[in-house]
Amino acid sequence: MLAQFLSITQSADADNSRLESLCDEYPVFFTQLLDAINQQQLLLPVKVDSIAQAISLGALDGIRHLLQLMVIYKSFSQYKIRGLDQQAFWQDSLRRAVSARMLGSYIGLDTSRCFLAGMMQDIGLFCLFLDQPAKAMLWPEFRKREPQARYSMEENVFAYNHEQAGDVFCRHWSIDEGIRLPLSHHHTSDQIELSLPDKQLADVLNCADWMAAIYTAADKSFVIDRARKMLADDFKLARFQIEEICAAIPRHVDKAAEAFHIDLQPHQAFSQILMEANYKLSVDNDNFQELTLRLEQALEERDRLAEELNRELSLAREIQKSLLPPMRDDGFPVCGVNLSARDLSGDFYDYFELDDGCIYFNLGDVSGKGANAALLMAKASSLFRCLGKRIKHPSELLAEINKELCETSINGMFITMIAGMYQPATGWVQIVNAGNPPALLFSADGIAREIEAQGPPLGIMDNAEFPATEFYLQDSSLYLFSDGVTEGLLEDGTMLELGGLYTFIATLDKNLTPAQRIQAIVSLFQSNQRALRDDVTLVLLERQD
Amino acid sequence: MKYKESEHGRFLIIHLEGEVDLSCSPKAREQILKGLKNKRHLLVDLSAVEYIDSSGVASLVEGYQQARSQQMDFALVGVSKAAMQVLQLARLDKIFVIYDSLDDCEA
Repeated sequence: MLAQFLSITQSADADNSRLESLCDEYPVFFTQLLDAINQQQLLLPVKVDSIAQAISLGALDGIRHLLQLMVIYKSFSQYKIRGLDQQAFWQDSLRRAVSARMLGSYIGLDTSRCFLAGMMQDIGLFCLFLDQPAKAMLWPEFRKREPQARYSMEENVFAYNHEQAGDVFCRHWSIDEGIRLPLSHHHTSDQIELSLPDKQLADVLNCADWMAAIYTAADKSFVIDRARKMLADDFKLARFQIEEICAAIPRHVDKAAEAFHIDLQPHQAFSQILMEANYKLSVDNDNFQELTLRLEQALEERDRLAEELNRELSLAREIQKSLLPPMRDDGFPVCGVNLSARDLSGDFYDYFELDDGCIYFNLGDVSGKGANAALLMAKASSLFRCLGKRIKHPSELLAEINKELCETSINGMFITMIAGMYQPATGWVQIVNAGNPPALLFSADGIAREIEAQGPPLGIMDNAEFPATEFYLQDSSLYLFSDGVTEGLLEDGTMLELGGLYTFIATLDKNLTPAQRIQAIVSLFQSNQRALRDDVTLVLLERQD
Repeated sequence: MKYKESEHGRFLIIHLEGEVDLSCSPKAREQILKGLKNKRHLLVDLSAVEYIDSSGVASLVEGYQQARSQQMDFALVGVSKAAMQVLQLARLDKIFVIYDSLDDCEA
């Protein structure tokens, strides 16, 4: 019967006598249809007594749309899918339909087309559930989401969306192109070229979706804000019109439901929803203020901790400096300098006299930098001083320190150290190099000799041996340095390297004091603007008469 | 620093590339220790290392110490010139087992 009717209305000029005979044949259905035509007020300005009269007044398209709607509703409402609450589903559809109809009338679109399209907007989702009924349990979750999130959820759940499914449905049911195209692109109208009326209908559908979601979404204040913004920006509605149109939805839904004989669940008034949304906004606002306050407190706490940390670092730096021996101007044969790349240094040097007049001196470099290197440096220099007063041979001393460090080695950290003993009375020097860059021994006539490492760094192998190199110092100068010196960057960005250091020392003014000479070397790295890459440390041994 | 892994018989090979300095040596250390924790004999390929500082060397030393305490094999392979200079300077070439290439090492 419906099919017969549809075919009559789809022809260009309807055959009124055939229509009337159909009406006589199915009086109940056509009373319903007539009701729908009359109650849908927007279809015709006056009440009509018969379908034929309505058609003669030019409502043929509208009637066809109404019929399609009734057919679709009757076909789909017979399915029972577990999890999908049909009553709520059609109620939501009616909200979209009446919203679309109101919007359509504002911008002069055919309102029956808007109504049908709005009603069919979620038919695609229905089809997806029909295809995969097990997923219908998720429908309440879909319903709670705002339109955009629902769209993404569809893609996640079905790897398909209601636009695509709606498109298939429309083709199958031979729905007008003027409805199919906007319907299958109402969330994605910017991705396809649509005619102006189609684009307008797509925008109407999208906005109607948001308006209807006011009544179903979990986060109502977000949806209300978005709907208001769309209505103001895209439809140029004034604030009072927006409130009016949103508040009118339930009333129009009631009327339309009556016309289509769709049962409704009780629904909330817009004012009630607004109250809830405003309450949530005020709670959010409180939460926001609370968050701001906590953030401020956290920042203050951070500044306080940073200050504390800086204070501790400078204290540590001070203590570390105090571990270095003071510069002596009493004709002592050893002097040293240390320039730290960070607050704390991993390099160190030391020298001290024993009871018999012999002098121990050393220079060390802990692997890595920062606080852990500094702590290990403190340990190594203490060991050197403590054990050095008891063990009178540098080879034995370093073997002993090495054993101690191996026992408590951590994270593979190790120490390169070059240490020696000088006997001022005879000029006898014993020197041991544990993994450190070579020492440079410059004779008075400018000839240099390298004293290379004979043993591995300390803290790696507990049974390592550290053979000593022995010689008389005479008029020579012995330079000890850490790798920060040879790897230090000069003003032009190149590394000094061993050759550069050799040349620089060879050309230093002979009248400079030992302290001035090592200071001159350190100045090579201080004159440029670059940050130091590594700690720079030097020790110089020279006979003083 | 770039980092990748490959297999060579009973060995897990850790390939380090580029500059192994303080900024990335913790990553190298983590990978080396992870390999040892998984009871793997380790080869560290240093053929593409352009620069290694003492923190990088420390990661190797820790691997060496850790492997020794677990009786696992730990060796360096294809050590680049830049890395070898550092190792030699510190006499560490006498400590690590070093293979010229994978062919020299019994898988």
